[in-house]
This record gives sequence, C-alpha cells and structure tokens, in this order.
Amino acid sequence: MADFTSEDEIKELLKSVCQPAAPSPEFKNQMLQDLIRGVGSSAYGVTRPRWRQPRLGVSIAAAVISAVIGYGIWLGQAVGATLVP
Amino acid sequence: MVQKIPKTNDAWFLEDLRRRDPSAITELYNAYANRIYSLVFNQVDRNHEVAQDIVQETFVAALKSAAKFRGQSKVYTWLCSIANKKVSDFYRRQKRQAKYQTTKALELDQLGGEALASDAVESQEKHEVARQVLLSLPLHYRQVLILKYVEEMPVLEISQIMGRSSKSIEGLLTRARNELRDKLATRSEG
Repeated sequence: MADFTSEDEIKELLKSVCQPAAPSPEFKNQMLQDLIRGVGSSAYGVTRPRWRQPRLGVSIAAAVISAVIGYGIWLGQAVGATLVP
Repeated sequence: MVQKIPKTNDAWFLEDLRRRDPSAITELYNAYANRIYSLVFNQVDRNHEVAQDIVQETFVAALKSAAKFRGQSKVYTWLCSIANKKVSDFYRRQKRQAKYQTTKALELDQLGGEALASDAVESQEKHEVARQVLLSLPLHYRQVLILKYVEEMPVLEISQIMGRSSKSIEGLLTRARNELRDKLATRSEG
C-alpha cells in the first residue's frame, strides 16, 4: 500500500473511498414536497418580531416590575425624608 | 444533467428564499440536494437511511434559518455547515445511546490486525480497509479530510463551514492527515 506522503495520494485514496452518491428519485420528490408543504404549515416556525418572542417578553416584564418596585422604594424613602422635621 | 446553481449574491433568490417561495425552495433543492446527500452519505459510513434523515434535517434547518443568511458565504458553503452540524448531532445522539460508534469501533478494532494481515491484499480489500480507517477517525478529522480532498474546497471555505479560523483548519488538516497515514501504516504492517 502506498505510504500517502503526498497530497495527491491522499486525494486519490479519499476520492476512491468517498464516491458520489445520490438519493433515490422517490425520496427526493417526497422530500421536496414535504419542504414545500412545510412552508404552508407552521413546520418552520413563524418569525415573530423580537419583542413578541417569549424569552424576550419575560425579560422585559421582569425589568419593568423591578423598575416599578425600585421606584416605589425610592419614592417611599424620598417622601419619608421630606416629612422628617 | 446540468444543475442550475443559484448565485450567492443573487439578492432576488435570497429574498425569495427568505419569503419561503416554493420556486426558490425548489431551485435550492434541485441545485444542492444531491451534493449535500453525497457529502453526508460519505460521513455516515454510506448509510442511506441515516443520510436521508440528515439531508432532510439540513434542508428544514436551512429554510428555518434562511432569514439570517445574508449571503456572506456561498449557498453551498452555508448548506455544508448546516449538514456538518447535523452529522455531528447525529453522532452525539448515537454516542448517548451507546450504539453506533461503539459497535463500529469494536468491529474496527477486531478488524485491525486480521483484515490486512492476509498476504493477498486485493484492490477491493484495500479500498475497504481505507474506508474503515476513514470511518475510525474522529468525526472532525473525517469532515475536514472530506471537505478538503473530496469536495476540493479551499481552506477559507472549510473554515466557514467548520466555524474555525483558517489557521486552525490548517492544523486540523495536518493532524487528520497524520492520523490517517498512521492508521493506514499500522494496518498494512498488521
């Protein structure tokens, strides 16, 4: 067996091992139909605006709630401070 | 049959694909299904069933992510990168299920000495041994060798497919070639 020191030998070996293959025509046709049909259904998912994506929505809600609570605390302290003689 | 290759920088084609226009999907599919199939088939030990599943997953994933594809690489390069990831996912799943790779590895270990020890090394046997040696390489070695020598892709394209720098691909290629040579030498000494 050759010792595969050259690039050409490796290429020749790999080309002989990895010969081109093709799927059966039935499989190809079926898959194409499935891909096209998938477009009509929700198989590929619908692209939503970023702000409507669930994870982002939860993060925004958490940030808003934190801001409201923080503002409440700050307001309480500020009002308390003004009432102290 | 000559297949029409959509141009990467064809903005209309990409726009149609993003809108999931059936004729754009058909064009993409007709142009690349066979090439992607062949690439995957050779990475999964020429198993038709597995190759079919992976090719289907590849095209579904491509259509899902078409909106993110900006044509920064060739369409074929983009599809190859998805296919390669799907092949990696397949082997990861197989490893988890401890079926495919372990059995194959075991078969290969057993074959190691015997198959090539026979003094009459026919061409068919050589071919089979080479196939088994290739299969016994780590997946990323196999992928880089196939992309380089079978697909004849330049290092830059391989780096886009495998998500590594060109330098890293050069190093990976060197290691993959060395391991291929070592394993072939070991077997032929058998």
